[in-house]
Order: sequence, then C-alpha cells, then structure tokens
Amino acid sequence: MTSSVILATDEVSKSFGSLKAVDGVSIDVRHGEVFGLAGPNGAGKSTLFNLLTGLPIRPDSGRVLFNGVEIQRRSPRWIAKAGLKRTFQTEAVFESLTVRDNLRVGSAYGSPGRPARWNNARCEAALAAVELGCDPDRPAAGLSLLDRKRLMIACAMVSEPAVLLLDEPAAGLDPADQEALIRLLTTIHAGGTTMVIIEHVLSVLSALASRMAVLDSGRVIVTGRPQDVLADPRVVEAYLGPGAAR
Amino acid sequence: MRALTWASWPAFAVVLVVLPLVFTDPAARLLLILMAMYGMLAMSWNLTLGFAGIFNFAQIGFFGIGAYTTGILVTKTGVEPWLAIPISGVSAVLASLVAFLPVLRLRGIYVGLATYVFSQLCIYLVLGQAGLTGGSNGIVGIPRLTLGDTSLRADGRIGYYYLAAALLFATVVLVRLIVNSTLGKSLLAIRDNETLAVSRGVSRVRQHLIVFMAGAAVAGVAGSFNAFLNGVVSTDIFGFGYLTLLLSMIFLGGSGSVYGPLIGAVVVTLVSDYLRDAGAWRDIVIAALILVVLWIAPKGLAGLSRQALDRWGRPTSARETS
Repeated sequence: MTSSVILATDEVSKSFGSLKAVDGVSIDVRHGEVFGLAGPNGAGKSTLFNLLTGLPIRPDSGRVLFNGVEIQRRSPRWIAKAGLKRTFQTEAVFESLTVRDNLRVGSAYGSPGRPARWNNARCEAALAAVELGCDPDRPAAGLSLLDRKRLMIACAMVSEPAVLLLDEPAAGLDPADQEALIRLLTTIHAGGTTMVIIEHVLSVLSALASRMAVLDSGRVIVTGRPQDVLADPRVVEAYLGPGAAR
Repeated sequence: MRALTWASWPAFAVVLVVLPLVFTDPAARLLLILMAMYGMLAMSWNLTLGFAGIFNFAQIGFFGIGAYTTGILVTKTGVEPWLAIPISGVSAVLASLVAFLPVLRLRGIYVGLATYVFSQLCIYLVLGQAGLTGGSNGIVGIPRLTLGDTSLRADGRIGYYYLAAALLFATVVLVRLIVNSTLGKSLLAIRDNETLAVSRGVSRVRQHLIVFMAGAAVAGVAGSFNAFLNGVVSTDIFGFGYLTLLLSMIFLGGSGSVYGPLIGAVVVTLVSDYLRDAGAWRDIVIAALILVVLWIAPKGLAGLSRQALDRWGRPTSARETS
C-alpha cells in the first residue's frame, strides 16, 4: 500500500448464510484517481460498496481503511461525514423534497460536526457542476431519469467528499445520456475528486477509469489498466462462461 | 410568495384576537377554546406522525402527563398555577425520553404498538399511585387560573380563550419553524428513504428524538391547559376517545401539511358539537366524513384548499410548507 492510497480494503469478507458474497477482497484506491469495479451480476460489487460505507452491513472479517484509519466498525453516518459519499443503483432522491431541499440535506449533514448552515451559493454551484438546469424549487419526484441521477450525484458532491462511490451510474441511460454522464463525471474528476465506479457498461468504465478490478463470485480475479483487464481471458470467461476466451 | 407567507402571521394573529369579540356567547367561546387546544395538540402530533413518519401513539400519554403534572403540582404542592404550565411541558418531554426508547430499535407499526402501550401504562401508573393522583377518582378541585384578581373564566371564559389562542399561535410558529428548517427537511428525507438519508450523514435517532421531544412539550402544555380549563383530571385523558378524536382531526385535515391538523380540529370540533345529542351517530358521521374527504382529496382538507390555491395561480413547487 503506497502513501497515496486514500481508500483500501484488506482481505474483506462477507457471507450471507452459506453464500460468500465478498471473499477476501483487497483493493486500493489512490488519491485523485477513478477506480473501476466490474464483474457479472452477483459478483459482489454492490455488497463491497455496502461494506465500504457500512450501509447496512459490516464485514465479517478484514479491514476497510480510509485515509489510513480503520472504518469497518464505524457507523454509516460517521463514514459519510468523514467524506466517503455514495450513490445507489436506483436513482434515489428524496421525493417529497424540492431539488433545492435535496441539496440542503446533503449540504447540512454531510460534513463533520454540527449541521452546517444553509448555504445557497454552494447548492447553486453543485447544481451547475452537474449541469442540472431545472428550477431548483420544483419537486424532485418529477425529474427525468438522467436529471435524478444528476441530482443524486450533486447531493453526494455538495459536501465536497474525499471519495465518491458511484454504483452503476449509467444504468438505464441511452447512449446519448451515457455520453453526457461521461462528460459530467470527467468534469467532476478534473476538480480533484477521487471516484470508485461500479459499472456494467464497460465503455463508460474504459472512458473514465485509470485502473479497475473485476470481481467474480466475491473474489478479485484481475486488477490493472482497463484495456489490459478487459482483454484478460479470465474476465471474458467470467462474463461469458468457461471456454469463451478461446 | 415569501412576503405573502410572512404577511399571513399578523393576519392570523388578528383573526385570533377578533374571534371572541364576534362570538360572545360562552358556549361558542368554549368551542373556540377547544378548537385551539385540539389544534395545538393535533399539530404537535403531526410533527411525528405526519412529517417524521413515526407511528407515535404516545402523544395522548404526553397530553395526560401534562394534565396530571399540573393537577398534582397545584393541588398537592402549592406550586404557582402559571408556573405549572411550563413545568408540565418539561415533564412531558422527560416522559418522551422513555417513550422514545422503542423508536431506537423498532420500525413502522411496531413503534405504534409500543408507544400505544406507553400511553396505556400511564393509566396503570396513575391508578397505582392513588395517593398522589386520586386513582380512579382523578384529581378534582384544580383552581382556575387568574390574572391578578380576575379569573380567566370571567366574561364567558375570555381569558382562557386568549391563553389558548396564544398557545396555538406559539405552536403554529414552532411547527412552521421546524418544518421549514433543515431539521424539518431531514425528517422528510428520513421518511422518504432512510438509507439514503443516513448515507448523506443524517442521524435518524437524533432527528427523531428532537421532534419527539418538541411534540411532547406542546402536548404537555396542552394537557396542563386542559386541566385548568376543566378543573379536574381523570384517566379518561389517556383513553381511546381522545386518541381517535385527534387522529380524525389529523387525517381529515391532512397529515402532510402544517395547517391540516388545525383545519381538522376546527371541523371535527364543530361537527362533534353539532351532533352532541346524536349518540353513536356522531362517530359514524365523523368517520363517514373522513372517508368521503380522503376519497375526494387524499391529502385531506388542506390538500383540497391547496388544489384550489394552485388553480388560482399559486406555484405548485411550494409544497408541504403551506
């Protein structure tokens, strides 16, 4: 582990009954990079995200290190306030709140200490950063799929997290919206935010990630640069079955 | 819009001041007093039940604890009656810390069952401490509130009316401040999606405890007022009658809005008084009224009035805060 590592797992495991969902996973994410996580359905990617953020589960064994501090026994709220923010597979927003109030909640409680004072300028900046041009006082429930994803990312970003965990951000988007998402995430990354992205759309991952890992049956099977990883026969086999790589 | 909202405060205050000058009959004044008392109780309950989405059935318990605290203080210890009102609010807040324990671990309907049991336990506590609480006889002879030498009961209970109106106004201010604050937004966030809210750094326990205590404080003060108004306190105050009456007010008025429970309190008090000689038909009519209103307007009478306002050009984006 180098000094530039901001987030790491060390032999993290989690079982549900007899199923080993995450099995001795060790990864390290460096300051300022975009790290990709891929793998077939049921590989344990989202479970790993849940273990990183403590939502709503904790590892059976192993360590999760954030800025060198063990966080695997910390509360999800503590982890969030410490600067590890995530999005979800489903485009989760607070539906009874307006767009502005969604950001207000993210802004007020997302930093250490007491709830931060309402900062309208910061929220306007977060909206601009994700290119969400709608009326901030409209209900979040009425937003389109892409705009809900933009809002979810803005809510995670508004408290200026150290690491942003994105769980399948391109899911359900058409190619044009995927392009818009890639541009958006590239801009956010250019601002210095470290990202970990779970993604099934491998073209999105190739465009964004500098390094990636592929999980299969709860284990890391390959780690490296996207172009090398995606050409690896073990990855092709994990997705398409034994013998597919020949 | 904001200016209109703030302009509504003095208008509301003026209405409260003028009402007893229009309705001079003591019976009408008593109705106004009951509307204000039930209004503050229903609004405070709506903080937990409506905005926070907690199935809190301990509110009636806090109301009763406030009433008994006042009864005991003024008849057994000689505490200054006016001082008994804030002390009753504090005692309800302390009780809310106990009632909140199930909320730490339980969710949904199980919280409802546990908090209802809390209210029922209050009855057994009162009956078990007959030396202090009067047991099944209750506490009688609670002195009327006075201002100098003037009883608040004088002149068709006008003093009690203005006290109730002041408490109601304070409750409206408190509820609006909470709902429009970041705390209020976080309560709605937790109600919408608890996992997402926690991932944004919101503490469910902390936020729910704050709103639980705020609601209990108002209910305790309302209970104290009720004790002074009636001069007696009995275990009926913890009963199912009050529970269903207040739930009727909240659902008829609309649990998703600040003013819905107040509107419900006004309507249910009026209908209840109009049908006071109708026996069981009174409850049947109120139940039917709730069903019809919720069928037409799922968000209650407040939702109906909001639809009308929207038709007149009010922006639809200003949602739950009206």
